[in-house]
Amino acid sequence: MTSPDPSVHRSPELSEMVDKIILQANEPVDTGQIVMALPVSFRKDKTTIRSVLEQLVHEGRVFTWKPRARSRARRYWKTSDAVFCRQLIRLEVNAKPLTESEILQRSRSRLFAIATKGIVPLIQSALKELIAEGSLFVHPPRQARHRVRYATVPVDPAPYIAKLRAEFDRVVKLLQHSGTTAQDILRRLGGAIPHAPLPDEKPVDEPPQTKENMEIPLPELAEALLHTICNRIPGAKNRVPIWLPELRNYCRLSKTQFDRAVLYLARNGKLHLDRHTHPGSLNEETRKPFVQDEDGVCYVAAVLL
Amino acid sequence: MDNPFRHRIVSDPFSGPETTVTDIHLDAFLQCMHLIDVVRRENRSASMLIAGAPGSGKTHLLHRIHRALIQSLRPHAFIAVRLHTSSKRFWRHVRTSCIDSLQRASDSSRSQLERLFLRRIWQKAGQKSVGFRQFQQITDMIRLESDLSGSFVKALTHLVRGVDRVNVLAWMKGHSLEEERLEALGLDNPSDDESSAEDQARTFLKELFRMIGPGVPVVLCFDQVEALQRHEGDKEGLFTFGQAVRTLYNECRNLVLLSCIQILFYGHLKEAVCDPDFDGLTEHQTSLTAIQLDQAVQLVHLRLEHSKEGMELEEQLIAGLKEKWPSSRQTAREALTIAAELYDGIRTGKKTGGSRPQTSRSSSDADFLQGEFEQRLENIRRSIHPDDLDAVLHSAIPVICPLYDGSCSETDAPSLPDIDMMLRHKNRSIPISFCNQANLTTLAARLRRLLGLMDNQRLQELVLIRHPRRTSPKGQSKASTYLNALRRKGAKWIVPSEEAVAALAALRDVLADAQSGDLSNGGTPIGPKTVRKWIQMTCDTEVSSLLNDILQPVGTNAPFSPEMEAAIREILQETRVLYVSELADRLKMDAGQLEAGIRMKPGWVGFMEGPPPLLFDPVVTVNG
Repeated sequence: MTSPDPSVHRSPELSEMVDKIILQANEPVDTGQIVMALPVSFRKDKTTIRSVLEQLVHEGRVFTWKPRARSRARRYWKTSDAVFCRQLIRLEVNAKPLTESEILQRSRSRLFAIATKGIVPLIQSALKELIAEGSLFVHPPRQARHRVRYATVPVDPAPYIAKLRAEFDRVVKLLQHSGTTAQDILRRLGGAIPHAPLPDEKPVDEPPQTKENMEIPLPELAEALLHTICNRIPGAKNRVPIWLPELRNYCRLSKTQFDRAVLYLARNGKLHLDRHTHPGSLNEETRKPFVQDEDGVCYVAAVLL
Repeated sequence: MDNPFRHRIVSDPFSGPETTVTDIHLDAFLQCMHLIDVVRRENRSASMLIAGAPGSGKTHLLHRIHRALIQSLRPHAFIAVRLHTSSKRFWRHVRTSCIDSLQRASDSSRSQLERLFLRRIWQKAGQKSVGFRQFQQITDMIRLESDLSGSFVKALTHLVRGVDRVNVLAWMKGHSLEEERLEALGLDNPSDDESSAEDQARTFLKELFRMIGPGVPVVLCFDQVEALQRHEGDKEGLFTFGQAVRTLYNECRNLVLLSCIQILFYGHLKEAVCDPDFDGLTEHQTSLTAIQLDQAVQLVHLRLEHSKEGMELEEQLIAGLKEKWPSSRQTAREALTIAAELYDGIRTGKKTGGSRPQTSRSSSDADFLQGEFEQRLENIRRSIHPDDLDAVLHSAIPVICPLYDGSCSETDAPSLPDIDMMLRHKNRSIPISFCNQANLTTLAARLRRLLGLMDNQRLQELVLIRHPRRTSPKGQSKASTYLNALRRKGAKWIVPSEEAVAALAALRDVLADAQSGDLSNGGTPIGPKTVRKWIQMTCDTEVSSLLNDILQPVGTNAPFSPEMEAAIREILQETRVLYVSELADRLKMDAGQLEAGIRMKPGWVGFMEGPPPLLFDPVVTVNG
């Protein structure tokens, strides 16, 4: 990117006006379109506007977009193509897992005429970033002719372990009169696979209410709660409301532990909490399922940020 | 100078504020626009549940979508439905609201409905000017293609040609039209079988959406879903809502169903709606969270810029806003409340204290609610139409009646044909039938069926209600004969005053707004519990007199005030004998109500059964 030419005189009003036009535009606009949209008193030649645009890009207020065609002018918008592409992908895969080509097919028309050559790397890098930050999950193919899919919810392992399950059942049946129980086999298997939960152990995201559990540090409890949210509430990462009494039922935590973990996540910017609008209408019993903070404020729902 | 931050509640998606901060709820907005695109491309319906705290901007989001659709210049329909109705007339309410929304002008002088119909005609014709013969041919083609009824297409044709718009729209809303009007317009008289009224409304809606055409998204917004609850814990309305949205989702191919609820209500909705319906309702879900300080600053800037006044105060306002912005995030409405206070403070030179947003209650809740009620009463009085009576009574009586008399409630007993509502009061069942048909033939048929019902089902204490501006059945007409027969069997004929109907509608409106978080006094939300208490305390005289009429058994309440009795006696002493209708004309009251009142207290005046019924001064008879 070239740095803006300081010799060109620009008024802050013109800069604001150009910024506003770009903010209000529903799609990326080129210099010509911006000039046309400017009020007559602000209208300047394209070179001046281009210089203003470069300054705005430099300040990170607007972003450049690739031209519609090689011969056309460069475009500008409020969001960068990478960020917009990420938003699009999240929207597309929200309903069901999609393959890369399906994402490409569905996003093509929404990417404001970026050339096909440009779209593929854009989508590929957006996918990589989303997976790295944990917003998107890879669903590996179950059969050779299938392709990798991407979704906003973690993969359900059940279909992948169908063969393993059959094999396990076969071994259990084989050893049923050999003095070895299914639990012994699992325990041996657990020794081979680190972190595999044994039947008599509780899942990591749902710690039992035991004395030891009370001693679990708050950050770990909060982490487990986050894990439960992601597993149990599909779409939570896409701002689906989380009804706190429902989430409480999913977690085997005491009221105090659950409330503290939720408030910890909220104070660390991981959750947004919605207050009860008419707390006066609640009594001790009806208040219980909701989360209460130290000041007695009652929270009913949360959104993952 | 008006405070530019005073307007904080968007109650109608069609007429929200001009200013919108693009950044606020951008994700939700983009998601909705994406769904509209999906419907356009994939020829299927989509649904989304929008949850948020009161004042988070749910209705504003709908307004923003509406504006974006108008700016996009692509064909669409935008419909807003406020659900302050009863579960028993859900589809009829949606039908009326759809026509109300579609008859609003879009960006041109023509209404949405006309534009959408003409669009299909032009699409088929391939040119803008269409001759009458070609017009008819094309409408026939559309009718066949979209499986539309003859009457519906005829009604649309009348609309675009500007023929008797008022009555055509009333027909489309499912209201009863007089026989001669129907004949003049060539429209079918819809069957008056009450049990199928909901089915008819549902079928009509599907027909309407088919007419709009494939690939043209119909954005159907359900607001104030909370108002479907008659009382706390009531699930019936929500269950019906879930079923209805799923039906629309499955059976129509061009709908974008946006349902807005308060986040506080999310758990109730999930509990009340059965799982498959909830899935249909929430193909997508989003939650509108609070806004950040920089977004609040943008909001303040835009409001000032738009008002073109007080721009010189911007720096002070923003500094104040930053100082008062609490550590926890606020909704857009709360941000505006802070700004409004600061604005007033700067203008009047007073300092507003505290670091947390102060909720200035300019008046007590009771005063505020009284003011709101009076303002709404005035608006409703101006706009209410006799056709609206059924909707008002259906939505208001089950909610307001228990507040006036704690022993009264609506029963969910299996519905009988032509009985619109069944109330339970002190071990008595009170069946209520709305006999508000403008068409007297339809009314007569309904009264005849009710007469049969009284015999077969042994219905007692039947209450019949009709709007005062509707023609009363008189003389030798069939309707009058059946009505008299019903009265002889103990049915009660009530013609409420217009004031009572308007007051009932206004009370329901205030309560519905409180249920959905759209009622706030100086920025502090007022909950439904407070409003219910206020209704109980104030006891509007017109409303309580109407409810009393409905609840009291025949003959127990005094039919006339002492002044009215004196006036009747005076007239009778003067004329000795006259028809009930003549007396009603002289007293300027409804003849039916007068007759019912006289029957309630037998013997105090002489009465001879008609037709037509006659009154005489009993003193004359006694003295010979």
